Amino acid sequence: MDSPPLPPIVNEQSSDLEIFLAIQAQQVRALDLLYDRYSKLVYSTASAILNNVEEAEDVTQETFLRLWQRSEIYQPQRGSLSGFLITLTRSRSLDRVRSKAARQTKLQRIQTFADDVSDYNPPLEFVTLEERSSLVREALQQLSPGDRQLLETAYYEGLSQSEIAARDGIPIGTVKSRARQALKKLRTLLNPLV
Amino acid sequence: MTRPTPEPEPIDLVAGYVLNDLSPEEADRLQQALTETPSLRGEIAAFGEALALLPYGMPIVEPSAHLKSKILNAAAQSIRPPSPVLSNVVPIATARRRNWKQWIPAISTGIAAVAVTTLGLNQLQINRQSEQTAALQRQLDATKQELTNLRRELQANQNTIALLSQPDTQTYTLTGATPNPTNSRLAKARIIAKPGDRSVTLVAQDLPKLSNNQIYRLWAVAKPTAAPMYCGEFRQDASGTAQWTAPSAACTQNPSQLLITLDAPTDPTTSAGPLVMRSLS
Repeated sequence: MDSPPLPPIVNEQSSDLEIFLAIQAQQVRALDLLYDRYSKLVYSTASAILNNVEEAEDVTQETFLRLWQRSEIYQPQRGSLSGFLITLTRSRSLDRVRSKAARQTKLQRIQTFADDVSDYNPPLEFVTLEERSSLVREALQQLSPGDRQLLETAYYEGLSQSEIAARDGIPIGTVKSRARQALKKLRTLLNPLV
Repeated sequence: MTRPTPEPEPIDLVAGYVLNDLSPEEADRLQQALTETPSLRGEIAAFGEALALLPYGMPIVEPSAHLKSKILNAAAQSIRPPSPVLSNVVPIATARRRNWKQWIPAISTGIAAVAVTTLGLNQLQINRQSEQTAALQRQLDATKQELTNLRRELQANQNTIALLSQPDTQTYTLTGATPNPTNSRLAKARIIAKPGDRSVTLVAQDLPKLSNNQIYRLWAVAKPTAAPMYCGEFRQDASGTAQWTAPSAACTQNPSQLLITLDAPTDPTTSAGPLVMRSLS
């Protein structure tokens, strides 16, 4: 029987994938490095949604420990580790907001878990965190203020298009169409990263 | 005069999918488009990545300094053996493992005892060794107790084991969406079923107990973007096991994902309550 491969030795220069493989091998040092790399981003995302220091720290802890304890939930061929951590953080934060407001999850929302993407390799790994921030800020500036706010409302407040339409007094069709166009533009502008 | 709304392009449907705003008709059209143009799946991933980059554009704030050590300590306490998934064996007991760190006191005691012996204090060495022996005896007793518990649980799970031994049986691993409020642990479960057979078995750990006006419901997602299909409801017994018959054989026909929600028994089965667990898709 083949013996399992030795876990990689990781350091600050290791790629996200190497760090993830070491986390799979339960190396605490790898989690330490991952925390140094992404904790501010994860915490900032949770803070933006929850507006509460204690809850944002709870979500940050849950996010990192979830990956540590259930590393199989991240599949590298489906996307970047950064995107995975942020998506998990956002979803956990919004769950907290929603569980406060109304303990209800509709089918429309759980449909989106049925993702099926294979062999996706984003070039994010080759760009430093500072460069990512700079590229994203530049891209956001190229969206109109209204479109930018629309995307950010949907993202950080977790409002559905119909909720945004009702709140802002805009027809639902217009909200949907604007949000989709804004995301298409953002995707094009961020092409070097995705 | 009103102009007809133009049909959305597939790429608009991809954007709508990532924004979670597709109507059921649009979801069907996207499903069709994905069948005709498989490369669109890559676009779904790219749009998802683009959306997940949004936080890079906002002001970054730092968590408090103690959070890191809190997380790393919790991680060190919960080290598990590598390659945890894709086992065909249902865990029938809470994982128990020994952390090498718990041996540190015994090892330190041993080293101290050797140093003291060189000074001629043999009695002290003997005392320390007795302490070590007592500690090891306690470990042995705990292990024996653990073994007894495992045997008991093994006995109680013979039916599940019999099912697992059948060659076409499939198992699905599900993890909790939120921690169990009583012990802060994430629920984990295996669903065991034979493709096309309506009989479903669930073995769960840390799945919160239900009150009288609550029930868990299983939903199967046949294909990505398809609506979840109701696959029966259950309550787990004291050992965390449940068995029931799904309303349709399609529920076990190699679904791409399984979901468990929390509902009231009187809720309609046309919509689901809060998500409790989901399988790895």
